[in-house]
Amino acid sequence: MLRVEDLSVAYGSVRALDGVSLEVKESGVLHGIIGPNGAGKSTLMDAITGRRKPTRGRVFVDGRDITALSVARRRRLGMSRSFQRTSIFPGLRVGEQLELVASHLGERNLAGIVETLNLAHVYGEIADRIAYGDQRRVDIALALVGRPSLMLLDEPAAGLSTAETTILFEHLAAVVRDRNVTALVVEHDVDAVFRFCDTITALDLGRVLANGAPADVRKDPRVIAAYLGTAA
Amino acid sequence: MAFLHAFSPAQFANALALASLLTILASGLALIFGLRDVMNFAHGALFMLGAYLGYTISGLFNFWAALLIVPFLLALLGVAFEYAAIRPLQKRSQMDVALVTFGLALILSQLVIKIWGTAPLAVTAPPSLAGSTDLFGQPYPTYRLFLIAVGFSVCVALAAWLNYTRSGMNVRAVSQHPTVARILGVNTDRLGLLVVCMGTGLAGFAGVLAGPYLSVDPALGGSILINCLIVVVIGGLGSIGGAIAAAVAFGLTQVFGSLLSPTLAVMAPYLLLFFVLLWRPQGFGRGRVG
Amino acid sequence: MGALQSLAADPATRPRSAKTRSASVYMTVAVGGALTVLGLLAPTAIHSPYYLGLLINAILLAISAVSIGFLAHQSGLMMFGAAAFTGSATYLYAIAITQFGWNAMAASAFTLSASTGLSAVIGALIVRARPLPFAMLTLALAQMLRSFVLITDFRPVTGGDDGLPLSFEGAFFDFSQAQLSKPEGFWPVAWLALCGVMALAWVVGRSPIGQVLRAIKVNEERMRFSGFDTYGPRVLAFALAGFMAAVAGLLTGLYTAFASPELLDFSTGGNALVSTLIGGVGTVAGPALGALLYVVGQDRFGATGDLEFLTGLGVVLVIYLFPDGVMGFIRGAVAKPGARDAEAQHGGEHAAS
Repeated sequence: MLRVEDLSVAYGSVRALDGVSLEVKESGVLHGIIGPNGAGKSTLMDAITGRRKPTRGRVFVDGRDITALSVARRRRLGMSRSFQRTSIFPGLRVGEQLELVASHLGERNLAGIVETLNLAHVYGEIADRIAYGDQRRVDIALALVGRPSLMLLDEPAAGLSTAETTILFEHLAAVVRDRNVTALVVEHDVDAVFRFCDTITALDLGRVLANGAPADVRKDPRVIAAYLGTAA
Repeated sequence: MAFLHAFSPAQFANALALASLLTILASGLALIFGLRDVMNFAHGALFMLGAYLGYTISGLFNFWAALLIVPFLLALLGVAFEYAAIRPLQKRSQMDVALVTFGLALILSQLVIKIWGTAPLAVTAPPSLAGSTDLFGQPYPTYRLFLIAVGFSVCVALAAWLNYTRSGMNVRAVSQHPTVARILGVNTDRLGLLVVCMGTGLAGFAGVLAGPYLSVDPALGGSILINCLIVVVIGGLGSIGGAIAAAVAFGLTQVFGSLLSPTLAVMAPYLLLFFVLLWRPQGFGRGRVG
Repeated sequence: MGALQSLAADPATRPRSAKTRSASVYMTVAVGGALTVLGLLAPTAIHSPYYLGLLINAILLAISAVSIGFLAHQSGLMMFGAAAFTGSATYLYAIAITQFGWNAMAASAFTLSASTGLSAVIGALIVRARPLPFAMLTLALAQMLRSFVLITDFRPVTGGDDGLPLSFEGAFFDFSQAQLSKPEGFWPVAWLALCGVMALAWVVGRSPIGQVLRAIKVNEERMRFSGFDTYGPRVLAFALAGFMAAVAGLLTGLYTAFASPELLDFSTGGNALVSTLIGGVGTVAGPALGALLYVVGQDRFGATGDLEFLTGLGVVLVIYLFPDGVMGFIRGAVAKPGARDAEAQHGGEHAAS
């Protein structure tokens, strides 16, 4: 479904990503991406979604090489993303911005998304006046509009409490299951990732440490070494 | 033969004279942008005000008095500028402040017309600098040589200030790493005030110098502003060395270009500005003084 | 759509029901239409050619201001050098008449289409620049055109620093040159043009493309990540603003029958910009109101010399205290909470952000 081949992103002499390859073969999969700070997780997101141009490597979606496509084009083809630093439309009402994107991408069941992400109570509110947690979910809702087949979520639970994170991941798991969407989730909360994700990629220093089912990744000595000092 | 004549030392000196004025102006603009992140659209109008004040004070006393008094007056204006416009708007966007400076430019222009009228004024060079000197066998206006010398001196003085004095080094530090500098105890507000006053003072200084050289009329502000902007942008925002180099290049293209092709001479700086702003807009996030 | 319908029923969450939205649209159209018709009768009420002339100057300034305000509100870009677009239109018109020998109608059509086309081309180049470089580029453009027009080689075409007087025989929409040069004669043309331009700005602002533009202004990256082309709409907005500015320039040519380098001055564009700021960019009428205030102020205070001080004070105060301009302030004070435009209510609608 998604195949990343030898992806590298360099800023001058710094290699943020160094030959990363990963593959998610099926849809309806929740795939976690973990790694310590500076591992290159966000850069990987940026490279896959087209926000950054890779210095080497290619990205395939459903067998098609999309490396040269623009961000907007990728979105229209069904690849969406949410942001680590909330990126919504502050001056607009929640409903307005969702409807704007929904009509552009031909979404017919906006109500369903609003309900799934528990945004009904803020639908008419102006986006920069709602609670932080609600704003995060608006960010995700914007990525969910238009029946994407591939969602990339960059630390969707950033700033949320453990309880809120669990709820969010339950929502995500439900979305992935019900809509048969493939979701890649970058997340710092390793517990949540191990608990909810079907498969995991662990990164460190721009390289892949391990790839596979949670149980296997958990036992991988390189992953344990990279996380020494952090609960794993 | 005429072609060779065109590339005479005299023309070369003309280019340097123009560059001198621009250097002094551009340095002030670069300093203010580099430190305060303010693109001062009123810089041309300040220059013009300096020229007009220079005319009046030269008439009342003499040229040298003007050269001393006018920059001081404009530095005072800089204080008002800093406290009334820049400090209160520090938290607002670059554009908001730019708009205010633009508005100020308009008032200054209208003020000038109100006080001095619209007819061009003639400022004569002081007797000691009037007349010509022998330049490579040709007579050349002494005043322009003076202009070149002053421009050069100002550059040297600025460079020395930036590199060898405490306040100068602080200015460089703050423009490059504002937060760090503040943590290290640099009083950025006081420094900002100093830099703004220097900038406006320099503009006034350049204005007085320009009196005997350029035609003093109300359109002076607008045309010099854009040339100044071009020089600062092409030289790399905040970089004084770059501004100097760009000013010299500008002077050369203008003088020699207008001999070869007036159209090209007019277009070239603008085309270069478009190119730099569209394809290499670095430095608009933060200028760097150096 | 059941969940959304129940959302819509709840007054607290309803953005704005279709009913209230179309009611306010009808109101605006009705009021606008009435004002347009009433305005045409102005010469019967105002007999003094002096005041009528003053109002015409206000209209010419207002059209430029509306174009600046339109671009600022929809795209967040400030045209410091609006004079480039108004002045060049006047010159194009003058050149079409004097050089090509066309009649007024053809020259006008040429002016508007050529100006808009050029605006589109320029927009394609500069619309992606950040706000400050954009402002500098428009200023540079104005100054470049001014220098261009003064080049001695081009004197025969542009008239150099003397400017380019023009005269045409025949008629412009049944108006002869003589009629157009007088305030009473020119009034209908000016007034209808102003109403037309304001209507255009209003219609585009309310249309889907206006919504898209303002969303791009707020978060361009997220719009791309939501599948929108963010470049095309902005070029379109710029071309429209250029068109409106061209209307102002064309009218200047029709009225004064003269094209001069002063039209491309720093201060010409500056006056329009100041009017826009004073009136506020959040509404279509704001810039027009600002222009009226500016021209009246010039008339009242110009003699005593207080105008410069007031203008300066006005600009600084407005930017400092009223990010939404005077019009935005009035709207905020008068309108009821539910009916306000979301962006104005947000108050983050800075003049230039």
